[in-house]
Amino acid sequence: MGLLEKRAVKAFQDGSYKKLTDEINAITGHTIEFEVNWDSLAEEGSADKYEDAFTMVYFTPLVSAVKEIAADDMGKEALKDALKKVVIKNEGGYIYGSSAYKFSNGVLTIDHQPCTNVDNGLAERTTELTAILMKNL
Amino acid sequence: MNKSLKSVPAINKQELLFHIAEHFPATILSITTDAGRSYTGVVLTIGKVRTDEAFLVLQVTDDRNALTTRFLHLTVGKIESIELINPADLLSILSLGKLTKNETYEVSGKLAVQRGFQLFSEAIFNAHAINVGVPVMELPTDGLQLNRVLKLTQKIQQVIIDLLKEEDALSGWKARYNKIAFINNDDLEVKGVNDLVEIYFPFENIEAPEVSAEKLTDLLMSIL
Repeated sequence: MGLLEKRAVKAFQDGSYKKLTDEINAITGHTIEFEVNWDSLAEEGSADKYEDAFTMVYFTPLVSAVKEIAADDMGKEALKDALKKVVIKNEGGYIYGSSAYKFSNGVLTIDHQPCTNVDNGLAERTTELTAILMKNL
Repeated sequence: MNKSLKSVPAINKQELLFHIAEHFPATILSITTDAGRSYTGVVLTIGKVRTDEAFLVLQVTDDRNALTTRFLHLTVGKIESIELINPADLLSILSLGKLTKNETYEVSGKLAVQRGFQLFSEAIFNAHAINVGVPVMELPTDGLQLNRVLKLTQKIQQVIIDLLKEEDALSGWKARYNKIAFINNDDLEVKGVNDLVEIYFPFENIEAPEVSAEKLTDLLMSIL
C-alpha cells in the first residue's frame, strides 16, 4: 500500500467508516463487531475512489438490508440473536453480490473487489445480502 | 415419487386421455393400437360420438418430438397401450389431478416464518374481521423445513379464509376460538381444545405431500 492509498484508507476509517458502522448498530439496536482487512481493500491506483467505492460496495447494501429486516421488533430481535460480526475483505476477487456474501455461525463475510461494479451492482448486492441474511435469521 | 405413485388409483385409458387433453395437452404420447402400430404425438382433440364411443385426434410428432402436419384419427377402444414421454407431472396425470408432485423447497429463516405467521393472522383478520391468533409452533432449525412451514402456513391461511366465507363457520369460529397452533405430526388432524385450534400435520417432513385443502376444510368444519 502506497502513501496515497494509506492516506485514503485513513480518511475513510476516520470519517465514513465510523459513521456507517454507528448507523448500522443504531438500526439493529445492538453492537456488531466489524473486522476489515484494509490491506486487501486498498487497491493500488484507486485511492481517489475509496470513499465512494467502499461505502457503496460494502456498507450501503448492508445499511439497506438491516433497515429492511429491522423494520419491526421481530426483525431487530432476530438480528440481535444471529448477526454478531461482519468481516469485510477482498480476497476471492468477487464482483457480484451472488458470490460476495457468506454467513456462518453469526459471522457475515463480505468478500468483494472494492472498486469494481460499484454503481451497477448496488441493487444486486442489496438483494443478495438481504436474502442471505433472511435465510439465516 | 415412486412411493406417491403407489397411491394413485386405477384409471382407464379414456379417463387418462381426457385428463391429458384438458390439463396437460403438451404431453407427448406414444400410442400403440391393437393392430400393433405405434404413433407418437400430442392429443389435439378427444370426444365422444353418439354411440358413446370416444375418439381422439393425435397430431403426430417427428423423431425430435417436433409437431408435424400428420394427424391420426383413432377410436380410443382401438388403443392397446399409452406411453407417456417425459410427462411434466406424472403424479397429477395418473391421479387425474388428485395428487401433485411434492413441492420443492428453498431455504428460509425463522424470521421469515414468524413474519409469515403474523401475516397469516392479519390476512384472516382483514378478510373476515376475526382474530384467529398468530400461529404458535416449535420451529425446526433446518432451512428447508422452515420453508415448508412457511408455504403450508400460506395454504392453511387460504383454506381458513375460504372456509370463513360461510356465515355459520365464521360465527362458530368467533364464538369458540381465538388461538391457533401448528403441531408437527405424521398425519393431518385438527383438534379444538378450549379456545385453541390445533392443526397437526407433517410440517417438518419435506418429502410428505402438501396439505389437502379439501381434507383440512372438512376437519376444520368438524370442530366448528
